[in-house]
Amino acid sequence: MSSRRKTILKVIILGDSGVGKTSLMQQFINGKFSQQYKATIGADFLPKELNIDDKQVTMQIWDTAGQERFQSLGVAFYRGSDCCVLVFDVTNTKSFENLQSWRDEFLIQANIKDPDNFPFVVIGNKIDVEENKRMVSSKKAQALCASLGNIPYFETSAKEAVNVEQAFDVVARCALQQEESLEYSDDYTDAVNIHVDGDNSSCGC
Amino acid sequence: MANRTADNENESSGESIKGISEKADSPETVNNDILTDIHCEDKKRFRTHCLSNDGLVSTSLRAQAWPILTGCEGNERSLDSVPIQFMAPHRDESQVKKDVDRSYIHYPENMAEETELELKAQLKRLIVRMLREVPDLNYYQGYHDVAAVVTIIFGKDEQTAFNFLYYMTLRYLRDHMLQDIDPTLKQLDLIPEILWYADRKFYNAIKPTLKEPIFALSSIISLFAHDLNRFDEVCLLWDAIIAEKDPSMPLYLYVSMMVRYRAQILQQIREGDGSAEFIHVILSRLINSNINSLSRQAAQSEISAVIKSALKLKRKICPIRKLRRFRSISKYSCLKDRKVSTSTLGLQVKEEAINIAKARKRKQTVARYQRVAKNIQSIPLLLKISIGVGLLTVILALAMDPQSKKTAKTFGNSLLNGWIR
Repeated sequence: MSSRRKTILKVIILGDSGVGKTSLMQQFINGKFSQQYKATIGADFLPKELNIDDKQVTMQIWDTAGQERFQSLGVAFYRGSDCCVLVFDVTNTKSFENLQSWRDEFLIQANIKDPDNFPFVVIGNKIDVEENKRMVSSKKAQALCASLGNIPYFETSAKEAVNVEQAFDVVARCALQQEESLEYSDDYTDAVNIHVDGDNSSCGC
Repeated sequence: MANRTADNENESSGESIKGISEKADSPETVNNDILTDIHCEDKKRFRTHCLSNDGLVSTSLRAQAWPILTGCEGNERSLDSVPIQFMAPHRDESQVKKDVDRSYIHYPENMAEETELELKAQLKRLIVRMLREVPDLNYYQGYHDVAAVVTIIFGKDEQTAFNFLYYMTLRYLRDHMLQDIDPTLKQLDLIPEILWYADRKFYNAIKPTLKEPIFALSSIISLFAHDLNRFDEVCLLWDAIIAEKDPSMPLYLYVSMMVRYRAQILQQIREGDGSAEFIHVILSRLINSNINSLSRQAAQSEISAVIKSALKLKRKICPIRKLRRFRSISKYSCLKDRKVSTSTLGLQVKEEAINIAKARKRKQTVARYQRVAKNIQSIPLLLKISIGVGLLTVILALAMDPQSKKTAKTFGNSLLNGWIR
């Protein structure tokens, strides 16, 4: 990690099939939405250059397949992630219920050494739908995020570009913080176990 | 069933690649030729057309020729089956619905909204019927792309569409429809070896990425329908795949594409950070970057060239039986057992269930050993030594018994690791 010259932040988007992972990524990176995205098979990434507090970084956003049978392929893509975005569809209860298993599976497959402090961000997408179609309330989602260790939660509409920019800004900050803490601890891996106060906090977002 | 004939015909190639002709006839002559062959049901001549530069030319000719070529009308299943509403729903139907809703994105071009809705309804009926009739099948994303091509070709003739998809499913795709993705990955694992035969230098240049050839996943499981943006090009590849009657053909086609666009791939790699992940992304966009971006005419001639080199690879340079990794593929895999039959699928499903159970047990055992090893680290030295002597006695006793030798070895290694740490 410390050999990386340019700061590259690797972000993985996970969640059930059809919750809008590709749409969110496209909206954030290209600022557009289409009803017509093909199902994602395997994984793909798009890069975006960002400026976080005067620091130039490249965010690599990995879009993944939602169907469960492709989940075991994750090992190949999750390694070296700096932040994981968990997406559900506010009109689909099942996709919300599956968030925790996506999170657990990610932690196992990515082989995260310090799971308690790895940054996640939860996104409830499709808030543009009519109120009566909404199945997961903000309150419920916030409660889950709180129980999973105060994970930042955003409600977005990839279709109408609501809150997408804001959500990914936090994703980027969390990822940067994680990346810097990793780089820092990497320098000391061979030394005695050093614990630096405040270094391992989850991104204070 | 006409399963076994194709291989003998194909593999007896002489000087040139059999079945390939460089036709320069006018389109009308070709059309008439194909129509005559349809009339005579001359499969041998069909294959020649399929592998020619224009393939079977048009959707309507394909709708007539593909069923004859595959013999799918004589499938084992009875033709008058129960209407799908009376069959038990399949576990994957909700996923099917999601994928049907986002089908037909690139083709057919300029489709009216009404036609699109009608096609989507047909597509859903087609896939659901397949899954309900053969409940052993597991649906995967990408199967909907295959089925979408079938609906475009056969239009309102839903029965023939079903018979044809049934054939394609059991002959070409069943490895991808088992309980988990391992059999698919085993197929993909043949790609690096084929590439090694095809272009060793290139193989060496991208070696780290070849450990997990997942970049080819969508092309192989969708028979290229997911990645190509134009219907004509999908059909040209399918002409060749169907004419060969060989489920390994997509693998060879894929490797041919890799080799054909080697210069472009290497150029893109040089521009990036060179990581295995980056190369993965470049390779997974192989078709999009190199074929979808071409004009229609240029793309079609590229596809023809790809088919020719794939046939050369498959028949001459590295036939599938020559591949070392082919040996580790299940005898029930569609690459080895070419029968279009649900009983073969049944055997494959059973074998897969056993493999999954074994893998789960292995995983549990490893986790258990790891836990033991971890606990050892925290035990005081003196205690470690005394327990160690005791355990050594047990391991030695186990080692005497030949049946337990393997277990003892794993157990011993695992303990030793914990000890050293």
